[in-house]
Amino acid sequence: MNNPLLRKLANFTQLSEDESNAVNECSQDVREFAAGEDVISQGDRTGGVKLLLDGFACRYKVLEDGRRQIVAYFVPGDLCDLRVFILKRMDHSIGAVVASKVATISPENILMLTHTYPTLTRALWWSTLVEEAIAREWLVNVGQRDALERTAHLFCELLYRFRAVGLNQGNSCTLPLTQVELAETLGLSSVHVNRTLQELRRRNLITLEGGTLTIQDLDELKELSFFNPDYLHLDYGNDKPRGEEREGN
Amino acid sequence: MTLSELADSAESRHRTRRLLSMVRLITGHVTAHGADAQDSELHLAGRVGAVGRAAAAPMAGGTDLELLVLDELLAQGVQRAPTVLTGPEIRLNAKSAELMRLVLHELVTNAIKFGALSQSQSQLRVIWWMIGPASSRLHFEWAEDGVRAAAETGRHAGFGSHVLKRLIASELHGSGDMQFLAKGVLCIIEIPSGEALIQDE
Repeated sequence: MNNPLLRKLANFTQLSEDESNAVNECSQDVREFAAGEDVISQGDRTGGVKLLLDGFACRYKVLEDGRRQIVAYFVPGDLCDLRVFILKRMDHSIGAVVASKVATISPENILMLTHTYPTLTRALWWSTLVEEAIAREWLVNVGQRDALERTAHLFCELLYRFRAVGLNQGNSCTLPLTQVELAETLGLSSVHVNRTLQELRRRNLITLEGGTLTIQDLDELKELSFFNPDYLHLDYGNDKPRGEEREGN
Repeated sequence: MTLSELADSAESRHRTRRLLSMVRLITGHVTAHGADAQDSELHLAGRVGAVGRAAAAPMAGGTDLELLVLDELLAQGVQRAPTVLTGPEIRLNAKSAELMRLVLHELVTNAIKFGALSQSQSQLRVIWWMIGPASSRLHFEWAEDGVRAAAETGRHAGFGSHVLKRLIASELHGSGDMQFLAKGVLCIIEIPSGEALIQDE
């Protein structure tokens, strides 16, 4: 199962071979993007649905004076809005943070998949709901949590999301973000981000080197940020997140 | 229970007591000075929020002073960084961090309403350093500058000054002073490092 979308959906349900094959066949139109390149820009015609196969991407908006807010991250297996083709033009941009591979699933294929495969359709609905739940947490993050909490919460979330598609190495995962990008994500000044990372390191909770995040004490980091992974809904057939089983393998 | 857990739970009982007495102080102040009900409620909610942040802050290892300043600005949605924010790395112990948080909350609130954070041309310098023989005291300054008509507004010695003068003296054996100058607030705090700081391990 090389398609990370299939690995992700396996957190919700067991798809049939037919369904898995159909998803694979629809993900053949692949393009590579360089770090910093837009996969699609605000104002562009929407076209097909983007599926991140490899790399790391973000959804962002830019204000007229250049200030930028990152409103979502995409890890491999994430769809950049399943129903986006209903709209004419993009109201935000999606950018590759590092070199990334992105498949475009045409609107016709999305409609075909959802007409033909009910279980797959429910799994896709699930992934959409999880995306919305993540967006709600991010809103709570910038609205209520302090700098340490928001940063810690984001790091916990990313580890769980990478785990869910089997792309963690123990408690490490890729985090190819600059402090400026973290600031644009967390709604903090870069001074504040810098100070916060320093504090997390000082407490021996994380290391962040060469684009890799290692969480040294996950329980402590979760407690610090009141992180409860329930909103990621990774609980199919098991109370533990699927990644935790994989980790033992 | 291990010794360190025992110490931890004693420490957290102390903290609970300290924070509750802070809440008592805050509510007492509102009922004694509450002219406008809505205004009082806003202030009360803001101060209780600061106590809540103090309660949620990790106790072990202390609190970084610069991070505390940044956090209290952020908590009230201040996007603008202070013009100057600088000082040596200082780790406050739980008790001094709680009081400093409350003081900073008052300073930020005040600055948003009338001071340096309410006008684009004004400046805010937050600086600190160690003074005295063997760096025995922490000297902390919050200095606003270039605030227009600062002295004519309804700023008065309120809850913030009370915390500053009374509590810094009684709880930390330090001194605090807040002056409402024509160009903005000047707040100076000095606390003995033995009472307030965690020495690096």
